[in-house]
Amino acid sequence: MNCIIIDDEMMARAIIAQFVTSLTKIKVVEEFTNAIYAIKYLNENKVDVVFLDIHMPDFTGFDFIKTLKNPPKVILVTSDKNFAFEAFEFDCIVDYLVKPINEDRFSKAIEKLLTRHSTNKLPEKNTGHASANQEPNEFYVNIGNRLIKIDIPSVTMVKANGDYIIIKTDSTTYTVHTTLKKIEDKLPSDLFLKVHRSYIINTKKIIDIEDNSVLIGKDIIPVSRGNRPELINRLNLL
Amino acid sequence: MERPNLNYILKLSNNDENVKLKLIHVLKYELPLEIKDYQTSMYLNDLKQAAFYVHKLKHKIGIVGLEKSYYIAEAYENELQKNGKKLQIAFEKSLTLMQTFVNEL
Repeated sequence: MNCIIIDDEMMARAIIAQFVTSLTKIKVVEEFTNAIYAIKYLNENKVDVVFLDIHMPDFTGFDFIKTLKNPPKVILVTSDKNFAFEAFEFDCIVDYLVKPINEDRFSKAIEKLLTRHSTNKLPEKNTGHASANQEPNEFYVNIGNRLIKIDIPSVTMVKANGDYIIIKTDSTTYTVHTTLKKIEDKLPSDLFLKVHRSYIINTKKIIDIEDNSVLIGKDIIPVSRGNRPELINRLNLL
Repeated sequence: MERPNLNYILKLSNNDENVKLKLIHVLKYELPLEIKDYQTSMYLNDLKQAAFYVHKLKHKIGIVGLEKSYYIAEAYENELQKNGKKLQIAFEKSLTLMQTFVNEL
């Protein structure tokens, strides 16, 4: 499943993204400060769930829902308790969270969402287990006293840093006490490539390649001379 | 008098220093902008617009654990919607308290 977040408040977007990343398998694919920008995106992309603020300048969350012919599932996130009744007049609204969101309440909203999703569509269980013939789509890392799930396709790069590795995903950066070799074994080789003795990259996330470096997000990653041919070989060159 | 704290952010970041720093950075960046927007609206006597910013600031008041101030903000937002501003001083005291705390992070 994937989601977008629509909220004009940066802090609210950061908090929702953190809850989504740390507690669910849902991938945050885009964030918007304004519902109008999101409409264009939804017309061109499939989105499973929208975390939506109500109070936004120019165009409210309810205005946004009304403009959509087939709205995705929506979880309203607002500082206003007074819209609950109105909210549930929309079939697409799964739940209504009041800011600041607490973890238990967020988890309940996700449970509701997954129940609605599996009732309406193919079942997608959030067990974290892969079926017998399927490669796992996530792995867990130990940070502090917690095992944190990381969605493999969201990983952009991994960097060795002394006794630690730095794992960057689309939305978060994790520092984990392990070796590059161990994580290399966990990552699917068709998607990830070790381009340097200290770097593994997700080849789908490459923005451009220049001489002996690749650009992924805002990171410039060095590419060893010996690994360059394999990297070029992976690209769908014209 | 109640005191602001980082309990919410610490719980949310769950010992991940990067997440904690990112959330604090966003708070430090966005709070003064919202306060300024609120002050401008008050200066222009645009109370409806001021209510909009109080609504936004209410979230941050909740984030730094100022429970009493949260309820003051909620009542003040409703008051501004009705063109009243009796709670202005109480609310602005909360803003000062919060901004001082955030400045020291």
